[in-house]
Amino acid sequence: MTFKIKLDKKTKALLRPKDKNGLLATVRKDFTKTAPKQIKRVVENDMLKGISPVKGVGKWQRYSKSYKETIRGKFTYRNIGGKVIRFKGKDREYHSKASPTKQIAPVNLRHSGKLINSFKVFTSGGFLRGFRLNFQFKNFLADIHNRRGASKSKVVRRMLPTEKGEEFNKVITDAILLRLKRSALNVARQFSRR
Amino acid sequence: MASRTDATNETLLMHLLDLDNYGLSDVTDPAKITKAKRDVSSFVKNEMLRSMSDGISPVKGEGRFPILDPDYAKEHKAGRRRSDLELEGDLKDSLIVEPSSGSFIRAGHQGAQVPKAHGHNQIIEKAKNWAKEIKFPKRRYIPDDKQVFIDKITNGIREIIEPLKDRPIDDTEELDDDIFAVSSLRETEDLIEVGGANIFDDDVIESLLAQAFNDL
Repeated sequence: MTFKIKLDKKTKALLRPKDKNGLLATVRKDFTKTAPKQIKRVVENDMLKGISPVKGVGKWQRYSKSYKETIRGKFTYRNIGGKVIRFKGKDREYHSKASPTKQIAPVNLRHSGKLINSFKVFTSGGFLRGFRLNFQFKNFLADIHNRRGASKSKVVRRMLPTEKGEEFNKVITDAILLRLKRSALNVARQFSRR
Repeated sequence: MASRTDATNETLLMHLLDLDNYGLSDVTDPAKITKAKRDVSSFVKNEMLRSMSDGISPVKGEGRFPILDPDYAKEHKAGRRRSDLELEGDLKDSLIVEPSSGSFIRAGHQGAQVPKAHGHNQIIEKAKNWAKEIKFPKRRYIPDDKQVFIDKITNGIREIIEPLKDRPIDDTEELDDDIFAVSSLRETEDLIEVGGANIFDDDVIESLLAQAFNDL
């Protein structure tokens, strides 16, 4: 006597968690749906408060005196024939056209918004193998701030953990783990429903 | 010895936080003690700065900072009245949070910014009297002797210390303290990108799923 048992998708997933529709892949798919956006917000929150996303760095070094004067409208700088020339600006409250509400503190690397708007958090790789969470800035200013140093004094303001041994700060790594736990819970709920 | 605040003179305002109250006494490996103190210092500093930026005191029971005077806000903060204790950045830049001797870390100020810090924190009598005279609002971000940090900070301290506590060593068990290890890197003239994969390993997700099914 033989019996034929038809397995539904959920049961198949439970019996073969490492298949392409198995539990593990489903958790990674669930994570991809909303977690990158939420994690991006956590990183942006820190940057907008002048706190480096890199563990151990803490607060970014403050703006130079000349840049503060530019923000305040006392002076403005123009690149003429390859030379940076300083002009007396109109002394109004916030003179930056690109960012009328820019303040001299906190240092949030936000002026026109092009750098911070280039920030992306996204997943890549397959749901079975090679799955990865990525953090990216696509703007020429990113490498300047993160590694080479900005302005004459070459001030480095670390944005991503690109040096050997570096990691994200605790709030960011906690956010990643929390979102993954949520995805595991979502999937467990989904597969527990009858 | 309990945590305490040293605010006796005009060049020092420092809270000494005893990590033994958060489990450090259960850590005996000197290297792990050093790591715990360093990681907790970094975490507490960032959390204090975050809280202050949000206009909320990192000290339990103090709540939100009083908002800024509207004229001051218009002149210096583009009209925003939320008090983040940051105009030029001198005060926050001078905030020290670092390992100290024994089981302590210290959080506070030393030097030129101490009078300003006293004015905001109003822990010593002189500062309280001055503030009362000119009606300067209290915006405390350093705990006094009887106070502690908010739950978010104290819970975070315990989370950092917990995995470092002494425990029986299992041959098969690997203590991995890198929740999210950076394993890929791309750097070009107009792009920087890092990626991590270890947190998505099969064994990690299996463990989280087991916990999730258990919790249901």
